[in-house]
Amino acid sequence: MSLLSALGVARSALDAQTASLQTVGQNIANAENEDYSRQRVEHVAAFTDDYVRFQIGTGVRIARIERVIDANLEEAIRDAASRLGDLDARDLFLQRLESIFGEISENSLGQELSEFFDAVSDLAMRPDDYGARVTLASRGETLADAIRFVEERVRGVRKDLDGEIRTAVDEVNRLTAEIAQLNEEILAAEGGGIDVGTANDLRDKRDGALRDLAALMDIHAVETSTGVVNVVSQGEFLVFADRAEMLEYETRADDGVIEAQVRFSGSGRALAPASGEVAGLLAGRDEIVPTIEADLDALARAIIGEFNALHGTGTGLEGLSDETSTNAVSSVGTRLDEAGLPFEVRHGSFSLEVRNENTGRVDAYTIAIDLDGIGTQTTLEELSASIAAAVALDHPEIEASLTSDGRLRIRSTSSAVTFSLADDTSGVVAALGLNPFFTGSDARTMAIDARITDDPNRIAAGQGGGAADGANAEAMAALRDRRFLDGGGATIEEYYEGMVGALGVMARDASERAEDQEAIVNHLGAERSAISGVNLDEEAIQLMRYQRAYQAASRFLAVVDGLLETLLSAV
Amino acid sequence: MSSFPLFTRVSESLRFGNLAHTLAGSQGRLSRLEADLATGERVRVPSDDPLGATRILALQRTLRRSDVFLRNVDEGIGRLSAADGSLSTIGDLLVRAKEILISQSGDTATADTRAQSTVEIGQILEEMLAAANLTFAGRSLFAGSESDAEPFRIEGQTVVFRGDTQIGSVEVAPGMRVESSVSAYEAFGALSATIGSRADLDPVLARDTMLRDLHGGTGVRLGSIEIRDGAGGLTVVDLSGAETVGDVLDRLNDDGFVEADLDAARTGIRLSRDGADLTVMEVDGGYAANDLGIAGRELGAAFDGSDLDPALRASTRLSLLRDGAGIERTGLVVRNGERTATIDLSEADTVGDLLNAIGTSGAGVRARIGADGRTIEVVSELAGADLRIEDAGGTSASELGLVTPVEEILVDRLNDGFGISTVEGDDFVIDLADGTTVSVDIDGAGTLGEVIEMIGAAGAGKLEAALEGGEARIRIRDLTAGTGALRIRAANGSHTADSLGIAGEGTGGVLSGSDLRPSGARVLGAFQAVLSMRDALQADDPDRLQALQTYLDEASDRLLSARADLGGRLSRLELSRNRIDDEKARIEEIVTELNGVDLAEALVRYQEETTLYQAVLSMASQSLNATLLDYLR
Repeated sequence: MSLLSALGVARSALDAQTASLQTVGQNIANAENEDYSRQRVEHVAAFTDDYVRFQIGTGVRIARIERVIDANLEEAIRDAASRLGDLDARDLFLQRLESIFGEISENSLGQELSEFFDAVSDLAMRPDDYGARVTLASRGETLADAIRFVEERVRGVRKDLDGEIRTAVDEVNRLTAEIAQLNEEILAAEGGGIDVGTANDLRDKRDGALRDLAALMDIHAVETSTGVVNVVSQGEFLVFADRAEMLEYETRADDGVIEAQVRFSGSGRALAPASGEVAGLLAGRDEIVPTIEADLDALARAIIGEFNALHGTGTGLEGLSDETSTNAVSSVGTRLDEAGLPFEVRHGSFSLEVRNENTGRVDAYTIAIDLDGIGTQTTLEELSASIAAAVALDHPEIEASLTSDGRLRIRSTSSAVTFSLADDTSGVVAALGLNPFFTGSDARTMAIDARITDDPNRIAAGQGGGAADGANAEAMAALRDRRFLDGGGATIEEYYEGMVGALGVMARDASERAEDQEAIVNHLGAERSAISGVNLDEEAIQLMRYQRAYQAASRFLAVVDGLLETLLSAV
Repeated sequence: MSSFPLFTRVSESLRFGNLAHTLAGSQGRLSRLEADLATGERVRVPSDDPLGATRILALQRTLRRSDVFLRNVDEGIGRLSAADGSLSTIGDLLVRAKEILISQSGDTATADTRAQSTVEIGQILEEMLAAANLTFAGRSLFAGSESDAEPFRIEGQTVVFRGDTQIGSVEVAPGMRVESSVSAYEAFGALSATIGSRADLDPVLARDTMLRDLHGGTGVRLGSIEIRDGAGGLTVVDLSGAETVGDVLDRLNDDGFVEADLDAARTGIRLSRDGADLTVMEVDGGYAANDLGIAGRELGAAFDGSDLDPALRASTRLSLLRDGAGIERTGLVVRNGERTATIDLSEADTVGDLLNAIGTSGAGVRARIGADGRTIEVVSELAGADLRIEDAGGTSASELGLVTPVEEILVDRLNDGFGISTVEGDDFVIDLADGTTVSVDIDGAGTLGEVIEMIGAAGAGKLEAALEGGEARIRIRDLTAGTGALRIRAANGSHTADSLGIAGEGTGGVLSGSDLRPSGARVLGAFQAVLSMRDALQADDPDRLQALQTYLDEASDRLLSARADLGGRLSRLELSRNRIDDEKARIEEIVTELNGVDLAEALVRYQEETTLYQAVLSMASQSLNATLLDYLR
């Protein structure tokens, strides 16, 4: 008990108020820092000096400067951020996919389909009109281009998603490394667990990193008694104390897109988060986009296969004189249904009709395709031989041969003799691509046969009649109303509309859920902000409080100083 | 705004965050409303309203198709109207032809006037040809699918038809077509002169007979069948996907349970298994065994299935015809007016070869398989010519059923196709040598053979009526004894005996009639009638001219009925147009309802939203300005 110890009290008070003022300053300075949690200074009375009958205070001491946080809320925020990351990612790429399929009323694949079939109907009505033929050829080309273009853009989305996955994985690695680093720094700052919870700013940084990580993939973060946070995802440690487990990826080509397969470097397990942006991106790249690509392929295949089957067995304005199949077999000695042709070949037959343009004489030969598993089965080699054998007597000018790359070539060496195909029950005409309208076998390869665009008179509108014979075009036009897609439930156009509709439902669903989830995240953020955020008015009051306290302590110091002066002047 | 959280403690970032959120939401809604108002459409991408979008897409597709259907209808109406114009011109020309016919077959006409009329009828023919060869939008009205050919052309004394009888149609609704042209067959009887096989050519089965050609072309329904041997053994044979009779036999034989082959007559399938009592059943309620004619219980160790009746096809081998007896290959002679062709069949293997040989013979004929798939038909392209087919030394034409035996010549065909005339009651009376008379009534006789029979029956043993050596010439022999002359005279004022070529007196108890000149198959139509008139005028034959009135009337009737059909097609197209217009209007209404923006509502909401936005802005600028710090001194 002395004036000097009273001076000590004054000093401790000034120190404490200064520290508090500094904290208020820190709070104000970080008012707009999203990661920042406001800090509060806890004052406790300093150690007392014990006398015999009483204790006397020695001033004030800063017990701790702590963050105002709610640890449970942090976890809820991370979970919500994971879900939002997932939904936001889906929302984004679904919107992109949707825009590929075009707006409802404007140029879209649906309109191209309609216009193509309109052109077919038109040709059925005016088979002898060159204009109708040119229109159909160009509509067919536009349709094939549109389907290819859409497919390319959908594939582009898959490529973009892959790029985003790589970026996201790099970001995950950066964040886990940062968290591990922060763990180390916090452990050092908090004296190896003695002063747990004191490294406020480092912890704010770590909480921020955890929230960012959670937005990318769902994680479970556990703080240990020493103050480090271990991060677990899919049962694998991403961060263990000061060590971060890296994600790595290897690339493989899938259908023309180089894709990154992401896995944990330690266990080699494939990364498959339940939520988070990465989960959304992976779902998009590996499920949703491939489904759409498959739907597009089914659509293209249906158009190519069904259209070619009819076109191949019709007749254009001039008969065929040299026809090489557009699709090759894997081996000319393999039975046709196993020879790698893009469309199905069944047991059946087709008819080869040979016409002498001078006399009008038509000879029809039935060519059997034997694939019933009994006896010899038809191979391309045998098909070629049986065509040659059938026509040998009457029409030696018709030659059937195989090309070196496994295609069938039927050729007339006489300019007066042409041929056509008809009554195909085996599917071989479309499978080989004889006298086709389209070439290719899926959305990526679909194109119009170049010979059609070069010479629209090749379009097989008729079935052996004159120039105004539109029977085959009528049959092709009737494809429009045939329900043969989706197991017989949808026409080509309905299938497309169903596809776009399903995409619309998905997009709508994702955007609504993302919106809802965003509201949840906002609410949680607001809740966190309500607890941990800085309120300037509040800080202003604190500022005044500590200012007053400082002024009072200064006054106290002045009084003690005055007393000391009195004392000193007395000696 | 729904997520605007209320907390007792509001931090800086919360204050700004909430404001930013509110403003962003408000801006989003504003831009959405602006787009709605600008486009007038509520659904622009499917996710705006996925269910509505699917419906809108489908409806818009229907709308676009309706436009195509409307174009089709207009095209069809145009084509039919043009055809109607052409037919009405030809109708008027026929009326003029008839006027000439009446005036030139009357008493006032002379050889000179008939010679002048020949020129006029020649002009009428030219004008008719011009009208029948009219085109619409570059396409012949009556050429069928052969639109690039001029369908009718004069060649010698005939008019040749180059087109076909395909009737065009336009699509007026999904899968629904309305005929949009009139065929030359309907209007002018082109290709109506036909000689078809008189009987089913009955091909037998071969291994390569297509299953789809069985049962007259109805085909068979394939599936699995079960065969039991009555002693506990059974096999199931899957026949689906089989294409030919040979495929079916191969599959039946495949597991060796039964032996399958064609039966001896080659009309059905024979199944056998030693010592078995075969039962053949369907599997899963199929029809395969039934359709292949082998279904049945306890059929014995071997049995023949029922007749599978394959239809005639171009690929059918001639050797299979006539229950497997085949066709003799010497050939046939086709006489078509001035043209005659001898067709050699020695190289023909199949029905297709036969049809090709006839069709390319240059006789102005086409050959085809009849619509029932059992006969072949030879059709003349020529109007103004008679089509006849004969054997060329052998029996080919007869075996193909293309030659009509004299007995079966229709009486309507006699006398160059003018037929015979009969009256109510007895038609003629025959005086016999013994002084008795026989009255003959041939009413109801359809063929020359029936006429002979009726005369013979009336004679009751007193006379014999026969055809002279396979010719169309009647011979009557008096079987009575006496001195009277054999004489045939008219009864009831009829011309029957005349028209049968037997009026008059016989010599030596035998009366040989004159040649009855049966006509061949001929076109019945406007060109035929006018060509015949020209011939009759040139030949200066008023009687024949008079007789041609029936032809002319028939040609006019045919034309009228074609125009009536045409009118029916036109009105169906008009109805379709109305239906499509109505449907379009309804769909447009629905689309507007589904996709249209309610302008009043959207504007009100836009106003509200703008006000709100401004309020938030002003609130923000006011409240964010002030903090307690401003007041600290």
